[in-house]
Amino acid sequence: MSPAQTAVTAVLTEKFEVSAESIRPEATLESLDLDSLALAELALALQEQLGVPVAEEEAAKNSTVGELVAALNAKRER
Amino acid sequence: MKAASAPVSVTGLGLITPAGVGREETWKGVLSGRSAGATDPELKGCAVDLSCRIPLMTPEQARIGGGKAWRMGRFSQLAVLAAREAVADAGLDPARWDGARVAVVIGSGLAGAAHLEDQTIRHHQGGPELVSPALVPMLISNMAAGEVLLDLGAHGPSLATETACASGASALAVARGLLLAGLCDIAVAGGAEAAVTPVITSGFQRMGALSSRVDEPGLASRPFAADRDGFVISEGAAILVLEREADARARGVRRYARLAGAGQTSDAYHPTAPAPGGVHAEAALRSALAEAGLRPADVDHVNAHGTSTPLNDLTEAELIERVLPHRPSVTAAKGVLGHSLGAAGAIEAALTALTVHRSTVPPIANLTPDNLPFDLDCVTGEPREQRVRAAVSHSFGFGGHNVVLLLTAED
Repeated sequence: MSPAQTAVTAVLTEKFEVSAESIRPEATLESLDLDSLALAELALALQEQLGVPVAEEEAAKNSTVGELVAALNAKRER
Repeated sequence: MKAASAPVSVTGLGLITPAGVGREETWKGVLSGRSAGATDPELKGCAVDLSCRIPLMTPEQARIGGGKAWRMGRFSQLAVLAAREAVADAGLDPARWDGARVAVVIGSGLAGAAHLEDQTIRHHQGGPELVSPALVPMLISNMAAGEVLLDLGAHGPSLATETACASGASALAVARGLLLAGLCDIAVAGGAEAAVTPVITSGFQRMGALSSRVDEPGLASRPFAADRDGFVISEGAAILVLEREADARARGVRRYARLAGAGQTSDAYHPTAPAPGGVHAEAALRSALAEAGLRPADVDHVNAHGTSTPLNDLTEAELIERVLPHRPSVTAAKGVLGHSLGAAGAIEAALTALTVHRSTVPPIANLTPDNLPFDLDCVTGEPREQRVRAAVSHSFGFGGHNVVLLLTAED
């Protein structure tokens, strides 16, 4: 599991109490019951854990878990 | 509608305090007479580093559920948990009630100040982008009511009351008014506070309000004792379910006590000091009695505000001596629990309801008869069995807010 994947899973399960089995790559953040306030908080939490800026559109309601992880991985590689 | 013609009953109690998580744990702890005061590692470096804290909750006890806890200030979480206990205790099921007829009124003194403090540090250290998007909902004082009404599906009138250390009592007075005005059938009301932080504690210490007995934290809160020197900051929540007595009778539910009167006055004297002579506090007491058609001589128990500060306890003791010279029993829960600020009035009203229902008066912690400089019948040492017909619970807040709640025994 990449560091980004680990961070996304940890924040979703620990902070937002999302069940681990529902965190599939194709699941949208909206389908995990994250509203706009939660998405903003998610971006901040990931930014702090990974040390890279997270833009609003990277953690939007239609973003999938897979897309979010890929975007974060790409930043960390730069 | 005359108040006396439509009495309001207390049918549910939820409590989370330094004496315990839950109504029965709190009652047991308060009856023990042992103060919860302790050195607080989170206040390390403060001139006064003692507090009364809610015991560490188990994950089950602390469970908000639904992925919502992260956005709630701690005071809102306590309110939600206490409200669930109170509603269940009243035998009510939020899935079945008519939510449009349920009101929610919850007071807090400092609300989410702890979160503002955290986020201010983050702002200073990392800039505006480190400020949590949840700061405002965690901070604003109405959000305990907001989260409780959301959790319970209550759609009636709702609001927060802010009268500093009387906030929880004000909430009950307002809720009673809503019931008497026919604006709701059930009121979920009380207070919640979670503001034991370095900055808030220092603020109270700098104004001279806190006990400086840092080497004897368990002995620091000593309401009405000759050598009292200030209060011990605390946290907690109490939520009460109120209904018109006729409705409660029709449901056949256990009624702890009647909330038979609520007197509310203001000092208009000083922002933080009580008015000399306690004349406006006395007016609140007399007003609460008048609402129920009772006389001062009918009061057989006083649950005092009793903060353990030199001036509050002096003014309050003189008020009791003057208006209630027949020596009703007196207790002060802040000896055990410390001063939970905006929650205290609701916690003490809940304890008064239990005293009335269970004919038991808890003792004042850290007070002995030889150390009592007032002509009061303070209960010390052990709980006292007493059949209480009418009890008053005093709450006085910075700003000069006086709230006196009158609780009477159900038939």
